[in-house]
Amino acid sequence: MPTITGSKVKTLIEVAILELEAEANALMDKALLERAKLIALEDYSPKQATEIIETAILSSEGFANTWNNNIDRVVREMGKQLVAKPVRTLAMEDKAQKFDWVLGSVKSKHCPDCLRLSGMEARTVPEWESLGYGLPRDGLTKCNVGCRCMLSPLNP
Amino acid sequence: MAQIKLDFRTFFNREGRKIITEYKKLITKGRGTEQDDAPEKKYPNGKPWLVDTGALRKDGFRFAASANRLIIFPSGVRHPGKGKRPTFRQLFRWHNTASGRYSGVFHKLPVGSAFPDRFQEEANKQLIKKVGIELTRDI
Repeated sequence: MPTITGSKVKTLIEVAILELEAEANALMDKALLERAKLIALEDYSPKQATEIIETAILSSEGFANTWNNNIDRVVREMGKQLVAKPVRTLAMEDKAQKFDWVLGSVKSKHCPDCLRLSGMEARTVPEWESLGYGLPRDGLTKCNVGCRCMLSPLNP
Repeated sequence: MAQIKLDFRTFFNREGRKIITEYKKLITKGRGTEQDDAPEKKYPNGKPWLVDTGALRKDGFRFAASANRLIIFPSGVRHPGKGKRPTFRQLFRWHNTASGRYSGVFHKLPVGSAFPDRFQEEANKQLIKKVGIELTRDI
């Protein structure tokens, strides 16, 4: 897994902010155009037209809906890079990824289920789940919710 | 027409503290950002390598915020314990990479972090306000 340094996290946020500012300026251009149309084609006063446009922006209606979707996309992309993912999500992104069942650190002995599973060869998440014990910490092994094991991705 | 610029300084000053609190909780629980277990490094006689004096929680974390940047990082302050007195930066480098695969802290935000949602809320608030101001200026 690549190491994300502090400077890369900083860059991701800066890039997201630049994208948001670009979206804001695009929205501004669109809002001015829509307002000009209301004044020229539908005889609204500038004040009335401005109120209509502001309402559309606040409620994400009409032309403002696209802008709202774009903001969602920018933040979602940033979040994907910034926030750590639990192993099930990692597995869904790469269905061929195999994982080792790794024993966790415990004060007493490991349960017999986890001892046996940790001795098996690496498998994909669906393959581990097909054995009937779920994934580590799911609560289906004898140690139940006390399980401290983890799945560790097998590097190629 | 003026270009819209966003300023997240106040927001990032708040978030820096919140994220540090999340990292401190992970350290207390002995977990990484992916909720995996932190490695234990012990002397051969079983005693822990580091004794928790509370110094890490007090001095180990720093953040810096500006209009468009938030950086969270381990401090260069030296641990107050006896012996070699590594810096917290050195301690975290060991902590994050000591044995095999471990997600550590600082590399990413913890699983389930609501930072992106709060960031979006703040962005929406600023965008709507600034677009409104520009529209009114242009009447």
